[in-house]
Amino acid sequence: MSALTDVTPAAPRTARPGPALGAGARVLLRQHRWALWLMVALALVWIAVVVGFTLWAGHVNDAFEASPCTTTVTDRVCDGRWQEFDLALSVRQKVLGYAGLCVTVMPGLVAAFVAGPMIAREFESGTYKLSWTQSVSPVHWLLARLAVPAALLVAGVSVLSAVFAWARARTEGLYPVNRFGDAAFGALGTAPVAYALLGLALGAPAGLLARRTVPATSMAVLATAAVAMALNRVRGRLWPLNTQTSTGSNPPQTPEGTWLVETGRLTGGGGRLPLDTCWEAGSGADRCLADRGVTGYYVDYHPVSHFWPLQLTETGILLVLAAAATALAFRVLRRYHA
Amino acid sequence: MAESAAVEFRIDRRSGVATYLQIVQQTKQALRLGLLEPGDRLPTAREVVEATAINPNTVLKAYRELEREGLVEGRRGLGTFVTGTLGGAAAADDSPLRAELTGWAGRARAAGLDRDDVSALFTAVLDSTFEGDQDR
Amino acid sequence: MTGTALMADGLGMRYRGRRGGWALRDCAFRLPAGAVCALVGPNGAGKSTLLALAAGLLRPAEGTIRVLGSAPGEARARMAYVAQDKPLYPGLTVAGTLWAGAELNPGSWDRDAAERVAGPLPSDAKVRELSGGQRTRLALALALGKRAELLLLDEPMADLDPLARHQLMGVLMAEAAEHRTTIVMSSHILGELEGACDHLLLVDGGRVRLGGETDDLIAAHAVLTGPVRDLTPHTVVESRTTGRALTALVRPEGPVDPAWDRAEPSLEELLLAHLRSPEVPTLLTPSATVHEAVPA
Repeated sequence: MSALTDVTPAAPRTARPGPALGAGARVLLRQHRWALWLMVALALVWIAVVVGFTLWAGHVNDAFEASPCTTTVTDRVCDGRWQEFDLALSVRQKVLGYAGLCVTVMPGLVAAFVAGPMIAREFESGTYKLSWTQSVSPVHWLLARLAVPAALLVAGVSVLSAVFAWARARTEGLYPVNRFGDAAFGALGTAPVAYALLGLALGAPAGLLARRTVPATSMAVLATAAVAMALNRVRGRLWPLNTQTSTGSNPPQTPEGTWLVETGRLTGGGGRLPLDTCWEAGSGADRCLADRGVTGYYVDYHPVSHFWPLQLTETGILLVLAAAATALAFRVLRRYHA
Repeated sequence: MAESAAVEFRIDRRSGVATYLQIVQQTKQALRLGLLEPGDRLPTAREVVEATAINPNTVLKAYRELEREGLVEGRRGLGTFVTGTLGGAAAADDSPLRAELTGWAGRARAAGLDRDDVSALFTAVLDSTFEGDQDR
Repeated sequence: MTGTALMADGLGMRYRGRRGGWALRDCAFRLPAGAVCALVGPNGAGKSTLLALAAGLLRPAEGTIRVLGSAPGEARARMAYVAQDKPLYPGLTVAGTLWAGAELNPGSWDRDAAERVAGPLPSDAKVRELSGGQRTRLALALALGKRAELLLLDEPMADLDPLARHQLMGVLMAEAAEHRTTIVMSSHILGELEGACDHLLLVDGGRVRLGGETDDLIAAHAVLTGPVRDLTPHTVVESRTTGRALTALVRPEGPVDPAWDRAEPSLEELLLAHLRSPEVPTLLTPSATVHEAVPA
């Protein structure tokens, strides 16, 4: 305690260590711990549903195969068993379809959460003034908001993706889930992780630009959805297609599990015509086709072996976009503070 | 930490008297009444401002004034200590001056003066007696 | 030697959109380290903008502001700021908020200082359940726990009851006494700050009107009363004629005619007179002047 004559000038306190990123991360996690628990709970429910239905359908499948019944045998007993078998496998296909859809939609939720509650609400409620005036720079503040969700998403979504791959691999045969399907492709491999990171990265500039929860959330969701839809549209062209042709009246047969991107009619000169050429001619179709020189079919497709090249190309595009969005976020942030 | 301080200051914002002067006057009053004796420690600036919410410099200014008058002395790292006295004997309950004043006040009352009249008369006499001899 | 806690030069801030006006313009002043400064002025004068600029929350539109000798962004760890609306993380408890303060200020956190201020608060209560006064107390606890060299407090006393106001002002003054912490407190009510502050910064209409030690600012002015007559060469801040008598608040330039009855203005008189007379030039005491004044 200082006396009258003892009011010494404050000791130079220049060498103060700034907090490591970990401090900002711990505070962020505590601020949003309910959201974190909710995400973990939803992921666990998702895993339980996917694993549960897959195991159940697999059990029914095994029981059916162990029985003397086949899909072609029809008698009273086998009809019942077949119905159970058919139901189980079709339900599994539906469940996996919805599960895949959930994973496809999740990046939008991530974007909404990062843009709204994590960033824009700090501006709306003024708590950014608290955050930015601790010993943490605004850059660290934003970094924590990107790094913490990124780490959680990479870990969590990888698990979901692995579980989904395990479940999908069990669906070959009756009621398969094609790995190239709209819902499945986005839930398999590396794409879901990249989509989640993109949602996160788009949420940051949306939150910083809008600075209000509702507009920020809408902006982030729209941007994420736009990227997802655009990529969905061009996905087939992201890797060179294989082509098969046939002559005569039957399209070429492609192996199981391939992705038929485009099928059409082929002329003798190698020209391509739409699949529905001469459909309106009715009984005169053969003549109509001959007039146009159609000699067979062509199929542009991706074989199963194109799955990973396509996945990795899409992942690459997503990560580049995510990096650009992140750079934009830091640029916007720098405009605000001193 | 030193033993607790011997006085506490009361600051009246509406008195019109400068805050540092209130501290000076209260210290002197305590010295006159014998509440403070040489060797006693005055509260530190921190203690005073924490209790009164006044600016620390105000306390330091008052203590400097008291130091200048030779009543207190700052000892580095220890505190500010009383070194002088102020007519302590004259103000004590049993001093002759006090007895005379008590007698005078009684006579004034008997003569029909009320409290305000007595106070005004006393102040006027004080002012003429100690003219040019003020604190400021 | 005294250092400089705060220095602005040609500082201006304009908000985009909102009417596009200047919230602050051409501000130049200096605040020495160790000062306890009242930042006063009417509502909307630019007090909050000035504090937010110092805290590094805004980027100046023009001019510079230096905090503890560096740019505001570099002094972040050495200053503490309490915004006017006392923002706090609504999802955290009182204890959680103090924990966050410790986490985010690891180099300097003083748990005792923070808990001395936050003591009366229910530590398990959520921030969103606190009253305005309790929020202020918690925000001040965070600021004091940071053990900053400069405290920037925007309307710190506004939501407090008289008892809490007295106690917390006492805590702030003790902080200043013990650590020579520089404190800048804004208010549109001078009475809250008078007695606690030794420096003054009057901001009005986005400009600094008065700046420097309170005692010196008062000493630089005089209230003159007497018969109506010319006041030159003194700078007249405000004058009023009642019948044959004139009362004027002036900045004496040279000796004052003994025919005038001269008195010292109160701080409140001084501020009100300046607020009523916006055209009176800015007065900064030498310690508050950015560029060393050339002796006349």
